Amino acid sequence: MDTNAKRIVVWLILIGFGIWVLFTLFPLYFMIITALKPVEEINRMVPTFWPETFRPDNFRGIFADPGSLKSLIDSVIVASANTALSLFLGTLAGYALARYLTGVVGENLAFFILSNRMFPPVAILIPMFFLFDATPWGTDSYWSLIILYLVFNMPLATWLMMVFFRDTPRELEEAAYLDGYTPLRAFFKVTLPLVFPGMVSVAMLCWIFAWNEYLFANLLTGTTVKTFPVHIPSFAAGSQTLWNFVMAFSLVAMLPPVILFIALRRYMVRGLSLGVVKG
Amino acid sequence: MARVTLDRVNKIYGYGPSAVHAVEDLSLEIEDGEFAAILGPSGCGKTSTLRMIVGLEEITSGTVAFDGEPMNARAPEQRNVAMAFESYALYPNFNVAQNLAFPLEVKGVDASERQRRVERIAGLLQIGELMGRRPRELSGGQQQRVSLGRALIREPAVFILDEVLSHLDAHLKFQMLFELKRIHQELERTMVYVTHDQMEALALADRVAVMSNARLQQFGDRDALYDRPANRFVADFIGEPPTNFLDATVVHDGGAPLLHVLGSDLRFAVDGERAAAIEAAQLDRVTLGIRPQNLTWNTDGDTAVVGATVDFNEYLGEHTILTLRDGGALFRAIVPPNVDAGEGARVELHYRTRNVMVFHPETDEFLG
Repeated sequence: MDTNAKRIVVWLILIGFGIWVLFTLFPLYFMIITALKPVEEINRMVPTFWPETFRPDNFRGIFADPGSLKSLIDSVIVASANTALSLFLGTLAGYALARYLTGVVGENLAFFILSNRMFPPVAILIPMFFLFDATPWGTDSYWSLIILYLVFNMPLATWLMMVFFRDTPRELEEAAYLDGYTPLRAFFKVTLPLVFPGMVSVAMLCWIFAWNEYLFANLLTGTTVKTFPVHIPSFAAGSQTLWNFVMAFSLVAMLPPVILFIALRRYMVRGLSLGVVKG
Repeated sequence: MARVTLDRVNKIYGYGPSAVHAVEDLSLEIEDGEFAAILGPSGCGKTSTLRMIVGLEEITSGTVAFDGEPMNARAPEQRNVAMAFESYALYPNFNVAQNLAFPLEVKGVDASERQRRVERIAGLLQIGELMGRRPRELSGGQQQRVSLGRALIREPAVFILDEVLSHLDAHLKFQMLFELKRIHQELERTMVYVTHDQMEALALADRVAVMSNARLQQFGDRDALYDRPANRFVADFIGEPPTNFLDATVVHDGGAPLLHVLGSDLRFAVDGERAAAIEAAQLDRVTLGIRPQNLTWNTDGDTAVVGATVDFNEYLGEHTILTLRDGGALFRAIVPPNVDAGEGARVELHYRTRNVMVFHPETDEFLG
């Protein structure tokens, strides 16, 4: 290929990427401008792509409802507690699978655990409702969501942690035993620091799942406990949907995961590439 | 410091029909302060053996004792053993100094003493300038030294070194062999060195335990392994190039038996001791073994002679390896580099009758 043809191909690829970037960023852009528009401007038949009137007050308006702040707090509680539990159980289970259940039994057990993530969540929706209804705290509580989300997050955490542990050499622990560490101490002091970036990634994945989950939260909870995805429809009360409030609130709800992501990105990259490059 | 005793130690992995008998009835006594090597091809059970000594592997049956005290029930951290791993097993998030100090820190040695001993070991292994680096910033040879250093920094009952030189290039290996020998002399502690490389084992160890197929074949010093190998396996495994084995019939020519190699005109004489052993076993067929080094080009008079045709001449600089043929029998001899022995030439080689080894043709045991 001569240089001219090459240049054209490069440009075509760049244009292709450009279109793709526009395609993915446009919804975010539209969210932001909608959040800043007054509601009359939103309902116009020809939508404006730049707000004629800026209404940053929308962001204050959404918190006029005390339920808004509470829903964010509820989401933080559910997502964080579930993540802590998933990570704790997943790390221990993953370690056991990686180190002690290495045969056929372990392989099958590990696959069974992962397979829990493969069915469509809606399949267990109704049974779960009755199950949690029978618990002393009922369906509408922090505990129901914290425990229910384990169904999805613990298999993920277990599986990923198992893979991370398998990639850490066993000899390191053995060396630590010989140097005088007990197995428990070797686990905490030698092995865990090595998989720490992996744990951060797993925590992030679990947290985001629990943060965004709508289906189960909507069915099981909604009065005592109300996570933010369940709270959003309250802006659509009555005949009119306050799209500017929906978008403003969604933007606020996007902040925690985005901030976490940015703060932990160093670990995320290392964690997600654990096992890819052997150190 | 400790005397390490293994008494009928067995290791079986798995259960039922899929069980693997990795170590079978192994009895071994390593003296206090001795440098012992466990040598064998991969899969012979040597790694399982050493893992049972240090406590990383459960002992299926039998006893491992240090100074007569059984260790079976003790966890590795209670056995006071130090080990250098084949894979180095350096803690990746510690730097070299922290890695070296780790075993002392665990034991609660105070900081100034730690510092002193780290410096001493760093001097011994010449890794002083690497102290601040992380393991991944080190070359294989450097990691090896640090790993050795971490094992040597304590004063354990027993040092275990698992294939520690196998990843080093030849030059560094020779240097480290010398270092290890020197370290052993300096520390005067029991060391067990595990390797598949006979050169390392023979160069380092006072005595070598040769293992094959989960069993101990022989435990002895260099001379014993070379001159009185317990069986054909040991004779074959020890020595480079390996011993020549030839099937022979026993011919009684007057008084002393002669070994007539099957399918050829080769005849080897044996000394009185071996002749007696053959007589005692009442065998008319044996396997004859003779090391290539013991078939010499020159003679000082006190030797017997065999003649053969040169099949192949490998000039290796320091010496030449001749592959020789007579009829259907093939064997090798090491001769000086400059000999005039082109392919197809008829040559005569000399040997001492006491260097002819005789093995039982079926059991492969050493007869004399």
